[in-house]
Amino acid sequence: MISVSKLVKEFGAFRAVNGISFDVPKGQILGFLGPNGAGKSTTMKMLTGFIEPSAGTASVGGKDVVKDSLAVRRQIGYLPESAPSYGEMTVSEFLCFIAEIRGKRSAAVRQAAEAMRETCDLSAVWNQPIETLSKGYRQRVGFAQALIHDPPVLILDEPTDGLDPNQKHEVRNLIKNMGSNKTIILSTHILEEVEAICQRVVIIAHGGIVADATPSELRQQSKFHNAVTMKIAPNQIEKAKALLSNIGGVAAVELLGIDNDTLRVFPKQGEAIALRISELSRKENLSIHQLQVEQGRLDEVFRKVTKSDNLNQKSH
Amino acid sequence: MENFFPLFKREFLGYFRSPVAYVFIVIFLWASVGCTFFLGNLYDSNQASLDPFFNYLPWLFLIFVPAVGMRLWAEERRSGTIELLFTLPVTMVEAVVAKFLAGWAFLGVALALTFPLWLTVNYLGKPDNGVIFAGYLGCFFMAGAYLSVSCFTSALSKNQVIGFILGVVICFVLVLLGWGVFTDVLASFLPAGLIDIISQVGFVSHFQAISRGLLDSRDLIYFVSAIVVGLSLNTLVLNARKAS
Amino acid sequence: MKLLKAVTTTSSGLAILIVAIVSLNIISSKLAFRADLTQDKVYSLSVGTKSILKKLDKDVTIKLFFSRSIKELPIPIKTYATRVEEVLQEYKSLSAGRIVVEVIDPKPDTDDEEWALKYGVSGVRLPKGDQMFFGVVLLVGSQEIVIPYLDPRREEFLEYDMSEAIVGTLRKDRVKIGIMSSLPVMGSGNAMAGQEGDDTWAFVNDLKRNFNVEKIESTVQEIAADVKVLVVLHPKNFAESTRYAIDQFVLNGGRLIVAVDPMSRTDLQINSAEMRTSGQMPKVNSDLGSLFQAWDLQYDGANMVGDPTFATQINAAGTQTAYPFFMSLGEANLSRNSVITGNLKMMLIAEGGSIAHKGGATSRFEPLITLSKDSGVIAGAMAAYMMPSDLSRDLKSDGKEKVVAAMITGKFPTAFPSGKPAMEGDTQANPSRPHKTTNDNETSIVVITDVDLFADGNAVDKFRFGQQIMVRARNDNLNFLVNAADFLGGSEDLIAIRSKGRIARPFDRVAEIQKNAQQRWQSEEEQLTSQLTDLQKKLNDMQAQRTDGNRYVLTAQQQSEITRFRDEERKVKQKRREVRKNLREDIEKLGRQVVAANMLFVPLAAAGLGVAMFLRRSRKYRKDRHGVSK
Repeated sequence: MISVSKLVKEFGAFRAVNGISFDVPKGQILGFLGPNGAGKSTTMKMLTGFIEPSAGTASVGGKDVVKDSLAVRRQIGYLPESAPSYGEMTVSEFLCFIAEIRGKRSAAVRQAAEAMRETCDLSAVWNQPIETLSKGYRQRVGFAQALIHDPPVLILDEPTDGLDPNQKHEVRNLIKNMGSNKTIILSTHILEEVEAICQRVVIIAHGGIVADATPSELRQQSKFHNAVTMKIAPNQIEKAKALLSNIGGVAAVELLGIDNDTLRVFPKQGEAIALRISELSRKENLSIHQLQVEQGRLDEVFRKVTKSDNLNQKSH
Repeated sequence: MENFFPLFKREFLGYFRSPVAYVFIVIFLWASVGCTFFLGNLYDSNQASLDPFFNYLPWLFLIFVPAVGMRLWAEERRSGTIELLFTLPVTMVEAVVAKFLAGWAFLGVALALTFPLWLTVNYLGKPDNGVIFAGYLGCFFMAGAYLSVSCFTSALSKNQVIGFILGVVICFVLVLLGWGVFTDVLASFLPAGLIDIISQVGFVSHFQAISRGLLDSRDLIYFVSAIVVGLSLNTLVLNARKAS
Repeated sequence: MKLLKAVTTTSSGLAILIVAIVSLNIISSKLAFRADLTQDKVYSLSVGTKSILKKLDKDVTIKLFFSRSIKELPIPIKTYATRVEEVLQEYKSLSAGRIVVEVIDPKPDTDDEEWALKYGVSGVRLPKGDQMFFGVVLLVGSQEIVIPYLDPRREEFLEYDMSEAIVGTLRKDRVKIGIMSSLPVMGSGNAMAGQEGDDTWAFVNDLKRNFNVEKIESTVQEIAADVKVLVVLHPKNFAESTRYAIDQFVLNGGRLIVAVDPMSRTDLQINSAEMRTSGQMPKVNSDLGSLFQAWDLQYDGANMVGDPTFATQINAAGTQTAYPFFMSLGEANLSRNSVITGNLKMMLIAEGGSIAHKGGATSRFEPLITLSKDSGVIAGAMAAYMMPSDLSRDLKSDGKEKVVAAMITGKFPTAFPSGKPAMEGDTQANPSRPHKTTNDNETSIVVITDVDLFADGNAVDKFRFGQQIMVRARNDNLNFLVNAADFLGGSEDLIAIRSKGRIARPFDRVAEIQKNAQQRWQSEEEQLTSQLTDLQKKLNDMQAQRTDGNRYVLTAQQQSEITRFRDEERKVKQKRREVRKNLREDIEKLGRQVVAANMLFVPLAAAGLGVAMFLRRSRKYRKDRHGVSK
């Protein structure tokens, strides 16, 4: 549905996006991750036709974003960062305006707007000027605006930014419920969000893609992947640490916890050590109070990939 | 151009959504009526014509038109709605023209609301209504030319005030160019032929020609050209700076 | 690279756009279309001009001298010059190749400048010392007609001036017009026309533009056969033989314009010296007596007509007063059916009389200037003695519409059935033409019963412009005369152009209020003024006594008398000021009302609409919130 190939954007001497390529098939929800200034928003602006790429191509639904910009825009619902809208208009006026621009005429305009009133739960503020609304409502109005023409492609730039946890939850549900027939790209720097809703994650840093995988694949890249955390009786701690370090496949053992009663065992890349640890503890009669195998941590992966990239960049 | 009308409608009605528009209209009416009666001495002149009114309008427009135009693009850029606007299926030309025409129509409304002056001279005497009509037409076209300049300066900065000041300055220069006192100064160091061309570029000589009652294609083409140039510059500036 | 490309494409796009626009403006300056939105079509060539150009059978060269290269040229003049050039091009395009237009910029110390001076185009000195030429010369064969300076203030008359000049060049022999008057209308002849010191009446100069004007002495016994139109102005004390000459002129097919007056104030002013020395009232009325009888006209030569409806403000004894014998007549009074008055807008009749049709099957009477039913008459002889205010008071309406000017057409009998009247010292024993008893073909006579309206003071404003005296019409008085001469002299084309100028459009409403206020306050004001005059006279007398007799010594009684008078004078003056203020009061009140109405109604409506809109929007959303909280 969306295809990006060697996309480059330069602002003067600064290269904001440095030749990225990826494809998003129909129905996928893609999380777009990256530190601030990594080029997420710039990429999205190029996809939505707001700015033109300096080089490379991108297409949405088979239409080129430069040559056929209007056709691309018609297929996309876009929520720009911080959901800008015309503050002096009321919610209903604004949505009717967008509906008209989206090609609806006469009765269909009202209909489309009213549908959004339900979907995005805007009844309470329906006739209120947007500038008087809370951040959460403004974000919902932004959603409504992006969804009003039922687009096949949704591009959402930090849709939950600045919302309280409840509102974030609502928005995530909204996105998840949008069904499998929509292709969605959303940018965020909140990792739990990605885990919660995305089927795939692309991490970019300094204008380049540093990771492109499913959330679980990414977690596997974490040094915490398959790490085992266990709580042991304090008198056995030293012994256990020495024993664990000697198991095959263990990379390191770390002491943590306030009472110094917890050990974390990191496996070597690709090794599964949980079974071996449990065998060992039975054999050595370690009294383990608690044992937990970790899935891996996205924030750690995120830091790792974006930092290392940083080093690479500098070394170049 | 299928999205032209919704855009125009939003912009035009947008003026009336904020109280600023009403304040603007009231002040404009007071200023124009005030100039006509107190500076132009319409009543004491004992002449059934709106010349005193039309003589002051080019100067009033100098402030009022940039005030109408300053919001148009600066506000879009400041609030970020420009990103929303240009990711909707709307072309740049459509948006530029729709905004301009909406502002122009608003100025037209403000101008039309000076109709009591027209009623007044018709009540007091028998004016040449053809000349008055021409005067209004000339004013309307001149307002369009001022507005296209203001659209352009509004796109230059996110700050409305900067757009306003630049608009006033450029319009002021364009008014000056046709003003005798100023061209006399220029004449002291420039050749006569050049002075001729320079004074043709100014607004006032074309406006005066129309407001005398003679609708000349050249004056109309001049104003239309001025509008097209202003809007083209507007488009260029937007292309270059919309994302910054 | 991309950026560079973007910059070059956009800036080249802009360059193309600018080139396109500049060339569009240049092209359009060649193919201009114009729509003339003025009611009077001030800027369009009229049917009359087109007809003149169609009839053009000689080549005409029009040279426009304009010093365009002067740097400090005022912009209005430049704009006007462009306009003149356009008008001339228009003439050229309508002339089927007969007209050639040359535009010449006479730079200092060139042949062009010399030619300009030679043709009589007048140079105007600009403040910085440059000599500016802005005039037109029309050449046909060896004949040349010059408009020495094109006054931008005459823009509305540009076409008329041009067409008139062209008509002037066209005529092989200009129509000869004779002027016969008991007033010094031809001037002393001390200065050239239009120059300082020229005391020729403006109407004579106006006629000279189109006609070969000839002065005819009022003692003439026979009018030359080549005079086509005869203007007789104020025929006072004309001898029988002169009247016979006029009679025979008409019966031989000559065209006559005659202005008579029951009371000519111009004449009165000229003869005031005589009145002072002899103490006798001079004769200031005129009549043609038996001639009018013969032409089926009934002229009331004894009475002056007035009409309060059209009263004009005059300044009499320091007071503004509406004087019903000075009548500002508009389109309602000026016959729309006649080519003479059909396009006139405003005429000022200054103490005129009236005429009527006596009846008669062989003549048609066509009123040209008519008054309303409110008009009345007063003996003309009174006017010389009485104050305007008294005259106004004595004017009573007689309910009849009066005709001030008319044209009579038909066959007329002679007023001298027994032939040429005998007179002493008859030098011309054998008249060159035989006595006629009636005219062979119908002829027309235009009669107007006022003379003063043609005096410069009532007809024109004069401005000095360098050495030139610029004359601008104040009303259509002279156009009436020129139209009549044109019509009777045979050129109807110019009539179609004349007087489409923008004549002043005063506030009728204000004039009306002034008239009403006048009626209300006039008597009181006059009473106070006469009181004041009395007081001043007494005061003067006392002071005169003082200087005559005991020079510096005043009796206590005299002293207190003077103080008392002074005191009274002050009071009366104060009172009069108030009355005068009242006179203006209504007008000023209307002015204040008009300003207030303009300042209040629409702005308040706009503000109200704004508040209503705001309330509506906020109410709507409060309702929503309420609904939610429930």
